[in-house]
Amino acid sequence: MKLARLLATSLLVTALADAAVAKDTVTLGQVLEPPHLDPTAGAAAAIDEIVYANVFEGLTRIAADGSVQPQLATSWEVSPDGLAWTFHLKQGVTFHDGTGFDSTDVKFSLERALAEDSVNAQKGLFEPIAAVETPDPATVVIRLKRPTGLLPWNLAWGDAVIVAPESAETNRTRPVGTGPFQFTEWRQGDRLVLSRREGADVALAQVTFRFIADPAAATAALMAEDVDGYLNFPAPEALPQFEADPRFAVVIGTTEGETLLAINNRRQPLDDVRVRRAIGHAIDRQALIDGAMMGYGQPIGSHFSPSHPAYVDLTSRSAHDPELARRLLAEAGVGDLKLTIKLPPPSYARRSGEIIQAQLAEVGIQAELVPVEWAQWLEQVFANKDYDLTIVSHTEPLDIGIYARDDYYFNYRNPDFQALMARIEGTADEAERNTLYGQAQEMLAADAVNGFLFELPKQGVWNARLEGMWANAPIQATDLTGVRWAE
Amino acid sequence: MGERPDPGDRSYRRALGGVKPGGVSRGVARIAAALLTLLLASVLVFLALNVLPGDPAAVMLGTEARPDTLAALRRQMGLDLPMPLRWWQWLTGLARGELGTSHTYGVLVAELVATRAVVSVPLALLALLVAIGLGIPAGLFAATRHRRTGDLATMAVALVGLSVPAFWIGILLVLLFAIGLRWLPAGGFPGWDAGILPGIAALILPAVALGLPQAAVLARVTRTAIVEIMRLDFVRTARSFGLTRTQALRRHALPNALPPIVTVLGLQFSFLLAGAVIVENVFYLPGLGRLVVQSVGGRDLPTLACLVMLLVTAVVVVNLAVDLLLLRLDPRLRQRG
Repeated sequence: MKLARLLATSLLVTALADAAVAKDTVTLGQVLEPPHLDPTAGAAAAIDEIVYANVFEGLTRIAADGSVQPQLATSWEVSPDGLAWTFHLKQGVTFHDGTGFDSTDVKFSLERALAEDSVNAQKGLFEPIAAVETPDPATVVIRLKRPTGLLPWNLAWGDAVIVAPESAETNRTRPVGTGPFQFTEWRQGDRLVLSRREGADVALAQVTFRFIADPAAATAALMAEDVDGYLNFPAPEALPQFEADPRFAVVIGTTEGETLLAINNRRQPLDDVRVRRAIGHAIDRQALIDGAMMGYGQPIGSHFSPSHPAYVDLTSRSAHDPELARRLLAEAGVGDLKLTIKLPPPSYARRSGEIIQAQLAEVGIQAELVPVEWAQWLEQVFANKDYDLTIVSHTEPLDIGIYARDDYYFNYRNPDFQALMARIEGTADEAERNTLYGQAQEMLAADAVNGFLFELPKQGVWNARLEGMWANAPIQATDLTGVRWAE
Repeated sequence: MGERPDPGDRSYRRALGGVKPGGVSRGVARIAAALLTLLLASVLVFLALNVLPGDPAAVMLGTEARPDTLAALRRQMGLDLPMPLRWWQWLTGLARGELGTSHTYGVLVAELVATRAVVSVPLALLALLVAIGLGIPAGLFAATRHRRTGDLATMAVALVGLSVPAFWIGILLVLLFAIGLRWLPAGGFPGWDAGILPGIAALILPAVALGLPQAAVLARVTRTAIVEIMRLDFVRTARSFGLTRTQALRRHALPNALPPIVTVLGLQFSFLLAGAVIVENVFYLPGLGRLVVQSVGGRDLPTLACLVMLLVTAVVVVNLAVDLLLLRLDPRLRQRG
């Protein structure tokens, strides 16, 4: 008891001392811990959620509204044939270890991502690049194999950040970038600390990420004010509790995560478009969102984010209609259909699985749920394409291009769609590109490639006095450069 | 105790049997058996981990991975080598004390495990302390009030302690002490370099959550053992020599009840070291249990192999220590067979 009182007093004293000076530190909870900290060598979103814009910077960046903005490049222009892009670089920039930044670092970073032994998870972003030239330290010319209108957007990804040859190999454990925050400490399994580098124009002096995945523990950590917020809170069912508490702001936003009931397009009888359409019509999206997601999440009718300007609402193409679904199945000559749904661990997948199983049963499809671990999912479903149906969210922004890949796990092969994607890639004009994106969405909806369910919501909960946190997640990042405590 | 015969008398002890050569050879046999167990375990661990489906490189590269990138990463991780070669490398590495590099974190496995062990080992010890501090006195109390209200009440509380899962106790403790009273942190571990007190403070609630169910087990074992022994002839003999009930309990019944209690304690320590994962999650502690789950999920085979071997070793060593302690505590074990 004595010990407890002593502890209580010392904690109280620390708390009072904290309150006396203006607060310039923040502690954020994060569900997943990154495996390492090099965004150019791994797909884990948790890496970008710590280092993007904070520690590492690219030539361009994606802003809170989803637009492409200059970062290490101040401006750029493209040659009339669309094959040469000239980027003008910011001057006087240094990496955290003091080495200078210039065009050779850009050349090094891009060539490293393109190299034979590259382990960049998004190597496809760099594939159109033919050569990188450095006419002077402040200028980079990127020559392309074919016109690629999306180049500035591609270069804004976390996978395309600029690293220095001196530190590239050790970025996994000691990231060295050009951003306003530098890496300070990482206690694996517990926390990661970034601190403001000298002279950086950001309000926060120190940022601590704590890795708390368990929903009950995450709730307790927020309630006890051990953490100041979650950019994306893991348990939608706890949100009403925070909404009712004036200490917290609950901000529901959008992500780029299209959640799919993915269909193996080559497995019989799923290779018949009527059967796939029947599955689409069997699904009641709103009931699914209400039941599995506590009402958060926006219905989608194709593989595209509703927050993108090119979005077309195609949900009516696969509106809930069990009668039509049964008719389509009968037309296709399919009776007594038995399928399996492989479910990876995220709660959206496991919960959606149970509801979809019930909805499919209403049209006479018997679905067996098979929960799998993430590693098993990647091996069985993603690599070996050994599945009927699976539920997964594709969280990369603007990733409709995966449907043009021959070897992708949907087993969807449509030369028309591939040609359309090639046209989009070569189109530099944004309005024209958006029209083509609309056609691509239509094509996927018409082919009923997958069951398109909902856009994963971003469930932000943070201290009501914390300003500048991103409401939406146009890219998976925790950009802290604009975050501050209200006076 | 002047005029009464001293039960600690030397001739009395000698009659029960002193240390004999047979005792030493039994000890050596136990140690040899432990080493053999470890060797067999190492072979099983490697085989089991390598038939585990799932590719560590695929886990790292996710849903946009291209075949050439996957192949490059597998080469980098050394996964393209044939299995017998990897087994040989692992075994010779173990022999040299090199545990390898974590696939997931890219740091030395030994460092990774060490940073977790400094949380898990003190946590297990603290939980054991809670279990001993509450369980043994409760068991003794119940035994001395055998079949009376005190006994029934204690055993009822123990039954509740046994039935309520540790993570639930943990959540209740957090609600009361962290969110309500704000005496202790809701979870996390500040590290020992932040000071001993903050470190201990972070471990108190999890240790209580882990230790309470174990205390309940221990109370029941202690009570049963004491009740059994108090019925035996030698206790009655001791009483007839004029010892009070409490003296008979302390001098004769308790030492003889120790073997089952120590056996249970040994099992509990092994369990607390490896089985704390759920409580670690509730309190988001960076302990060994969570590292095991993480490395299974990420197919981080070097880390997993090291962890499983470490836990196997801990169980074997604790069992060996219990065996050797029992040899000392119980002369009958030395004399027989």
